[in-house]
Amino acid sequence: MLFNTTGFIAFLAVVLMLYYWLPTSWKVKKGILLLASYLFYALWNPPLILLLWISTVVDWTAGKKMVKETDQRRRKLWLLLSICVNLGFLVFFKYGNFLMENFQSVLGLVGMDYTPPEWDILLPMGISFYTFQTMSYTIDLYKRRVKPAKTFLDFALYVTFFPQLVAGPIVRSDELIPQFYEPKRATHHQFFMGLMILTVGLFEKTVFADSIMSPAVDSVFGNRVLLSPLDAWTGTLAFSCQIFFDFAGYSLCAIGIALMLGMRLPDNFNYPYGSIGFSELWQRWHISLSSWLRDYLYIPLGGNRKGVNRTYVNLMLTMLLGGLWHGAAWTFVIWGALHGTYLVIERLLRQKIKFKAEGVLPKLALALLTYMLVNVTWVFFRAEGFQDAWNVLGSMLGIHGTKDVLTTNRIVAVLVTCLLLFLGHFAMRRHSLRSVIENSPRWLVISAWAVMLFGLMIVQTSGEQFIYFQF
Amino acid sequence: MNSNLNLGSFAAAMGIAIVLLICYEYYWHTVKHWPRSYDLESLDHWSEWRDKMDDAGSDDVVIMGSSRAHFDINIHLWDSITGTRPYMLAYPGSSPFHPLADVIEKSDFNGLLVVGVAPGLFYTLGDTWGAGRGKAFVEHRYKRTYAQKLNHAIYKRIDPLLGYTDPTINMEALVDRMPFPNRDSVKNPPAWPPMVRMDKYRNVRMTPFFEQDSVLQQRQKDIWFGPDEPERKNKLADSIDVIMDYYSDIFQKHLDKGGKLAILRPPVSGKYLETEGKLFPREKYWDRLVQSVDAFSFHYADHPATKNMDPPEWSHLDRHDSDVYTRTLIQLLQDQNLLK
Repeated sequence: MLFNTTGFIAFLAVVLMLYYWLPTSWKVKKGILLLASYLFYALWNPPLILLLWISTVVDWTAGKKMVKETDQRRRKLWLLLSICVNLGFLVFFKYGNFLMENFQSVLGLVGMDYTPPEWDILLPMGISFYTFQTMSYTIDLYKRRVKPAKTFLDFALYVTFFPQLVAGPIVRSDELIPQFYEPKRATHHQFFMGLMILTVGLFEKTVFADSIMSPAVDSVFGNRVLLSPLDAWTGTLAFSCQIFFDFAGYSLCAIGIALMLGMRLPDNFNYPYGSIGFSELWQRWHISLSSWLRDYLYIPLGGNRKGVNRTYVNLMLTMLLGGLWHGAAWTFVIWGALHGTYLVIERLLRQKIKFKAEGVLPKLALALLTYMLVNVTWVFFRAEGFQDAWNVLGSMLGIHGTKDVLTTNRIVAVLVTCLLLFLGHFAMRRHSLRSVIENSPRWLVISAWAVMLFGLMIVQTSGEQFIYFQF
Repeated sequence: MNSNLNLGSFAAAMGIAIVLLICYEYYWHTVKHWPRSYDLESLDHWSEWRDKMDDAGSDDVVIMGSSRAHFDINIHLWDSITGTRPYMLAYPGSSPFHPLADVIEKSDFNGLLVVGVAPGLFYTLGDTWGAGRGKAFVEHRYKRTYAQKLNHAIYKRIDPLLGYTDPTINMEALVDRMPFPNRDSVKNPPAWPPMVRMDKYRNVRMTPFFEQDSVLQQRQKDIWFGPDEPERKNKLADSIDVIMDYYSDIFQKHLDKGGKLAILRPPVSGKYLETEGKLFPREKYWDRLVQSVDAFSFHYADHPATKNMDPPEWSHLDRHDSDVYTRTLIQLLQDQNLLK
C-alpha cells in the first residue's frame, strides 16, 4: 500500500479510529496495529507476507535462545541461523537473477556456454529494510547490547510496524520495542505535528518528486541519445531532487504517522544537500542505513582501529556493499565505489591540508562542490546500464552530444526547484523541521499547511511508487 | 513565537485549502469548461469493465477499438433501443491488438464483438506505439494489487464530482503549460482541450462547449497533425500481410466459439480523411481486412446517413452525429440478425 493514495488515507483513518476510540486494552490495540500492518503489506501481495512471518518467527526464536543459552558456540549457531535465513531470502529474491547473470558471464569468459533458466522472481516490497532491521535485533542480542522483546507481539510489531515497514527508517530494537511496552497516546500537539509532518512528506513526494522532477528525469535517462550538456545536467539535477523528495518524503510520512500514534521514529534525513564534505553527507543522508552499515559492517571490519590503509579498505568495502544493498546491478556498486573514493580522498585531504571554512560563502562553495560531486554518482544510480551512464556523463562534460529533449518549462521548473532545495538545505544545516514549525508564527505555519494540503488535493498523480520500495 | 499545533490549526489550514480548492474547481469547470468526468484513460476503470465482461453472455455486446469506437457509439442510446447496454472496452490512443487477444483468448465471451478500426492505430501490432498502449492496460488488469483496487473503489466516487481532476490539467501538465519559449528542436507536449466527458459506464459524449468552440476544435486539429504525425503513422503500417493474418486468425477464434463479429470504420473528415486515404488506402487495408474475415462490416462512406458526417475536429463525432451513427449501426446489425 502506498502512502500517496486515497486508499491509504482511508486505511489510516480507520486505524486511528480503532486505535484511539476502541475502549480496549493496550495489548489488544497492539494486536490491532499488528493486524493493520499485515493488511498494509498484504494489500500489495498477500503470499509474500509469509516471508515476513518466517523472518519474525526465526528471529524471535533465535533471540530467545541466545538470551537463555550460555554456551557461546550454540549462541553463535543461533545467530548464524538468523543471519542465514534473513540473508538467504534477501539474496534469493533480490540478487538471484544478478548472481545467475554474472555466473553465466564468468562461464562465458572461460569458454563455457551456459544459459540459466528464466526466473521470474518478484522482489518482495521492503525486504532490504525489514531484513536489516530484524538482523540488527539478533546481532545486538548476540552481543548483549540490547534486551530481548518482552513478548512475541512486541517483537512482531517491531518487525512489521506499518509506517516504516517497507522503506524505513531502519529502526533499532532499543529505539522502538520499549515504546510498545506502555500504552501510547499522542498529545494534541504530537498528533497534529505528526499530521503536519505527514503532509510535508506527501507534498514532497507527489508535488516535487512525481510532478516536477519525474518527467524530466524520465526524458533524460529514458532517451538513448547523446544529449546536450544543459539537458544532461538538468536531468541529473532533477534526479538528485527526485530521489531526495521521494525518499525523505517517505521517511517524513513514516515519522509523522508514528507520531500520530504516539510513537517516535528517528530522523532519516537531515538536509543532506547542505553537507560540506562526504563524511557529513553520510551523517545526513539515509541516516538509519549509514549508521547500520557503520555499526554492523564498518566497525566489525575493524573501522579505523587497524591503521590508515585498513581504514580505507574498510571504508571502500562498506560503501561497495552499501551500493549493492540499493540494487542488484554493477552500476550500484560503482555508485558505492564513487562514494567510498570520495570519503577516502576527503580523509586524505583533511590529513594533508589544515583548512577550515569560515564564513557563509566559503561554506556555501564547499557545499556546492559536494552537491555537484554527489550528482556525478547519481548518474550511475539512475542509469539503466553503463552505456547510458557514460552517455549522460559524457554529455554533462560536453564531450559529446547536442540533442535537446527537455522543454524550457521543464528546465526552469527543475533548476529553480533544485536551487531552492540546495539553498534550503544549506540554510537548515543547524535546524530541524520540527523546530522550524514550532518557532514560526502561527499564521505562517497555517498558511504553509493550507498550501500543502491544497497542493495534495489538486496534484492527482496516479499513486506513483516510491523509488526506495524497489530496494 | 511558538506554534503549538492543535485541531484549530489543522481546521484553519484545511478551511483555507478547501476555499482554494473551490476557487480552483470554479476556474477549471466554470471558466475553462473542463467537464466533470471520469478519467478517460483510467486503467483501473477499464479493468473494472473488463472484469464485468467476464459475465457477458451470447446476447451481450462488447465494443473494442480506439477512441473513434469509444466516442462515436452511444451505449445508453443502444441500451434504450435494444434493451442491452454494450460493454465499452474501446480505449483512446490504442490499438485493440492486445485487448482483443485478451477478450477472445482469455474469456468465454461468445456474443457480438464490435471492433472499431482507426487505421493509424488498428494496424499496429506487438509492442509498437499504439499496440503498446493497449498492452499496458491489459497487463494492468492482471497485475493490479488489492491496494490499487481499493484506491479505485474510493477514487471513482470523487473523480466525476470535480472538473479539475482531469489528468490533462494535473500538476505535471500545468508545468508543461507555462509560457517559456522552447529551443528550436523541442516542442511542448500537447495541451489537450476539454473535448469529451465519460460516465461510469465508460460512455463518452462530446462536451457542448467543445461542439461550439471553433478555437478549441482548431487546437485539437493542431494536436492531431503535429509535424511528425503523418510520417510516423506511415511507418506503423508496414508488414500488411502479418497484420491481416493476425486479425484474420484472432477473429476466426471468436467466430469458432459461436461469437458474432462486426467491424466498423467510423467517420473522419478534413485532414484525417485526406491523410488516411493516402497512408491507408481503402483497397489495400479495409477491403482486404473485410475479405479476410467472415464478418459484418460497416464503412461509414458506404451508407447515406454517415458518409457525409463531418466531425468537429476531423476524427470524433459530436453528440448529434454520434446518435445518428449509433442508430444506423444498430439498424444495420438488426438487419443482419446480429442484434435482437
